[in-house]
Amino acid sequence: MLWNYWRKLNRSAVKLRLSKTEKAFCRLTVADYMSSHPVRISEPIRQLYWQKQIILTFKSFLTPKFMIPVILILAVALSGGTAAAAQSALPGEALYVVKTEINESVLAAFSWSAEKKAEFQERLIEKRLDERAELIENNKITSLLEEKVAKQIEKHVNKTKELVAKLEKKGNNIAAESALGKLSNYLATRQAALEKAGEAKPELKAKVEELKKDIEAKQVAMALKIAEIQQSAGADAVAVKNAAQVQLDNFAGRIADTKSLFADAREKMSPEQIKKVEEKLAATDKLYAEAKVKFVAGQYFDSLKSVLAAHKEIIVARQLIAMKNWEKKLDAEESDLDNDEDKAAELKDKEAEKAVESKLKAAESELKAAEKAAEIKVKAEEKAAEIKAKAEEKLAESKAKADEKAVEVKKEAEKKSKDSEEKD
Amino acid sequence: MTNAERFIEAYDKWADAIFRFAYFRVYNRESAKELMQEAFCRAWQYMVDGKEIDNLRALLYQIARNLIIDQSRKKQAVSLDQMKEKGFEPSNILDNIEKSLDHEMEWRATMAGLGRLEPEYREAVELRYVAGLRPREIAKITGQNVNVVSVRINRGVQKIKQYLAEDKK
Repeated sequence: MLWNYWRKLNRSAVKLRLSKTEKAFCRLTVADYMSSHPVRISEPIRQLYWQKQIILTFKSFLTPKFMIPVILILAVALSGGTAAAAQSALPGEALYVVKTEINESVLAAFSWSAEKKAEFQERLIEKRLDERAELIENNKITSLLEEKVAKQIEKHVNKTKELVAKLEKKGNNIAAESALGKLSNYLATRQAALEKAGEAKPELKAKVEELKKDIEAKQVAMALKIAEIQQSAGADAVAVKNAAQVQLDNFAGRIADTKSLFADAREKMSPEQIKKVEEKLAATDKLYAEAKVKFVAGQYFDSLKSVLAAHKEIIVARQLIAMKNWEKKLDAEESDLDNDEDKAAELKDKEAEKAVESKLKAAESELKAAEKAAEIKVKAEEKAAEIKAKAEEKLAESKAKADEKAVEVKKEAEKKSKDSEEKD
Repeated sequence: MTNAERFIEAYDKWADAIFRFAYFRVYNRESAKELMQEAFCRAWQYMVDGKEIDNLRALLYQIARNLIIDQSRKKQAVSLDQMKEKGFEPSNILDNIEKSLDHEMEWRATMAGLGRLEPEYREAVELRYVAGLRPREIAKITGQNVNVVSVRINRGVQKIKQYLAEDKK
């Protein structure tokens, strides 16, 4: 009875609906509202339907997402002082692996979002540079260790790139651009420092160029995305006007923000850098003023384009401002070396000595290994011969036994046949 | 697919359901249509404000519900008796429904059970069985605990069962 009731209720209710015209008309009103109120940040709608949400039950803690950090924490906790001691380990020391492979993995597990993970990788690059500086300070640097550090940095750079790709896939273009920007800053300053020191690496230069192109492509993609949103919301003059208005409003804040950043960082910057930033800011102001004029004149699309051009300029200005940190660090490293040439020479001698030593050691160990291998070979041959002899002996024995048995069986069979014949 | 496209897709899918939900409360086709439209616009505004949307369908129902509550508060001066005096009959909603609904008696019979329920039970039962939402979604819309919602649905169903049995007698 009740089932019937629900069926009737549902059937009747479903019949209550909007007519096609009504629905289309309301749709138009909603679409109109959407185009006049564009979404500035394209945060995706997570789900249209209801899906199981993450509720922290005991069971949910048993998933890999939670268990990996837990296991890592336990590993670190159980290792006790080892992990703590490893924290200050330098490349070439026994505990360095614990630091990079366990401690840092634990810390990385605490960064949930791709954005935070990218930030963490950037911090690790900085850390590797600090370690290198410390090695130089303690006269411990060798070409082998230098290579090790470079490899580690390469690893972090690649990881950051992966995360940037992830961010882009999620539609978080702003974060992707910022992470890439930071990375290119670091690589560009590093390259500049190396050039200064006369040891420019062509592959690093190529990498910087590649990253720069990537950033530009991302900016174009961002502009395209804005246009796409406009189109999907029914692109018309009103939509473009609104988009331009939004961009103009937002950009005023960005200019103010950048200027205050510049004011803070100005003291620590070189006059050359200050000049460059000022040029970029002037260009930004000019483009912004142009955009405003075009907006007033009703050229909304051109106004939007000018804002995007200003956006490009301001990004460069911000990069220049942000660069000061890296440059300071690199300058410090360089001054260490420059101020103390003797130290550098000594270092080179020591390096050479160490290289010879290590070669000698390698040769020795090779010899030892060869000796050992020869010994093992002889022993193995001896054992093989022994085993072979034993096997042959056993084979002969078993053959003899088998023959004896066969004779016995034959005799018995003969006896039996005789018996049966007799009985017959 | 962009957010705007997804949103329009959502409109095509749920405009009727939200309209129905509003209609069962205001019993006026035009008002229900306006409420539905307003709910979609406000949901879009929600995104414009940069808020995150976990479940768009639940949000739409939630907004529609709040709009209905606001509207009923504004019209509090008009009591049900006054409305009845003017010829309004809650169960006589068929006049407003499209002509495609031909089984008048059937409709009256089915609505009668729901109409006798107390508002909170009625809302829960309607959202569950007419709109086809799950208790968790209903809890999100009404701002209550899932257990409370489940209990209400259960008791509402029991009561309708009782009414139907009584009617049969």
